[in-house]
Amino acid sequence: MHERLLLDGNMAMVEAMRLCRVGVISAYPITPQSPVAEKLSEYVENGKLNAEYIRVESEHSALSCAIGAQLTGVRACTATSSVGLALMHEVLGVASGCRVPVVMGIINRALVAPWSLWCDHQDTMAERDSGWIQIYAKSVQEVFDSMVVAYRLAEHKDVQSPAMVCIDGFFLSHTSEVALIPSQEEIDDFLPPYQPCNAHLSVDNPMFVNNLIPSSEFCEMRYQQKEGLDHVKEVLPAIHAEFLEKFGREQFTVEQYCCEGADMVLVTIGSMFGAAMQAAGKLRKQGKKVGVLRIVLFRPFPYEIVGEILRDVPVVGVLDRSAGLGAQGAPLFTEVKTAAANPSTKFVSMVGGLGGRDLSTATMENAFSYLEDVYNGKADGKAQKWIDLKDNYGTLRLKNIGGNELCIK
Amino acid sequence: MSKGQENASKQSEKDKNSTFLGPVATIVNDVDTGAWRVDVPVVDHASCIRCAICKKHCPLSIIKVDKENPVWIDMRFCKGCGICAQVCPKGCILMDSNIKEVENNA
Repeated sequence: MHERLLLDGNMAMVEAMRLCRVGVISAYPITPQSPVAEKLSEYVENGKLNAEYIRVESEHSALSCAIGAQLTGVRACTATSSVGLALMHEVLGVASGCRVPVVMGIINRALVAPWSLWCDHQDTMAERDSGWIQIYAKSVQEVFDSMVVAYRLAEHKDVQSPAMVCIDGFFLSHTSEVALIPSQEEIDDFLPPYQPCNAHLSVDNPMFVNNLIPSSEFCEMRYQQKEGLDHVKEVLPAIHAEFLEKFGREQFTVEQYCCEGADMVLVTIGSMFGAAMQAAGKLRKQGKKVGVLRIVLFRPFPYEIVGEILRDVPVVGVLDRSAGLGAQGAPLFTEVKTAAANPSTKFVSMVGGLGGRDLSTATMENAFSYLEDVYNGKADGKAQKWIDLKDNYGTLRLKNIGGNELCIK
Repeated sequence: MSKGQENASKQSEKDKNSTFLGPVATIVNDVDTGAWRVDVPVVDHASCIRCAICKKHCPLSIIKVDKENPVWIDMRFCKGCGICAQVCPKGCILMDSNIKEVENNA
């Protein structure tokens, strides 16, 4: 029997970790992840969670400890944000390469500089090729559900790869919603105790993990990882079906809203889906054939499904919450365009909501109106469109402070 | 990449039936670091006082010293670093670069 609780995204993540019986926690606090680290330590202190809490001195150590702990045969957990994830960069590859199925919560926050505490996706997008599964949640309920699914998925014997559950900083992490939290028995029934089925640390059966690998074997081990991630697409639908049967909530690889027969589809990721759906619903009532697609599983990218959905759509806009500097389009755009490659489709790369800027329904309507211009031939849509950019971007904070004359023309 | 390095780790007999993914090995006994050696330590057993200072300093812990037997170095693993020759108070270990073949009476 589930409980109805008022939770924010961080607390939903903590409840999932608790119910999935994590045995070792090594987390280093960072805004907006700090409540996760704090609540877990509180649970360990008051005995609600039977786990070891390791106080580490950095995120690099946090993930290193989690990997070492998980190798001894427990679920280990950690969570981080932004520059914390960047500091973990080296260790992310150790977890995925050694096939240690750690599940990590990521509270998305912009990367420096400019220094920011607020949401965008550049932190996780920068780690998209690290061999980790990436799932982007849209609501507090989905934060909880995705975490539970992520444990099953990551630990599946054919996958054996770590997973990140990415939630939008503040928009999800600090916003309270009612969430249905299942009982411990129901979760235990869905998620069996952790059984390491690959590398493990044991005194009786010593094992050498992550030794120097010559060129004669390196490529093969990378290919093993590729196969593991490829298996996600076979394994995930079955896990989703079981989840639906047990808990009555549908989980998505990609989620569609009015995409069938649409002239214009906006591809979104994360919590922005709600506002995009709201705007699309309004435009649909005005007779405009618009749709919204949400990418939930970003790694491995479900290119077959995305390609199939977008095959006959004339205009596809992809709204990234990260800039993708220097590339033809931002990260999500390049994935979607490659997946749905159709010469008659016009693809528009859009960037918005950086550094915590709200992607409101008004912004979404602007995005759709630009897509309509492209559809009607009024705009070519070839250049990247920054949908919420202010016109005074070039003169922002421009003031003669003495010594900066050369910069002010 | 030398054959010795490639063989550095492999699965043990008892784990033959299970397969492991990624850089994992269950047996590590064939790290043939002796293949890297250029200079060979030669001990003058007559001047050696068996003080075992060389044994303490050997980074691979492959020198055996006791009162009855002459100093013995496991040449399978000796990289020829020469630390033993540097620390010997009697100066009775010399690094010889002309020796090509070493008999290992392990």
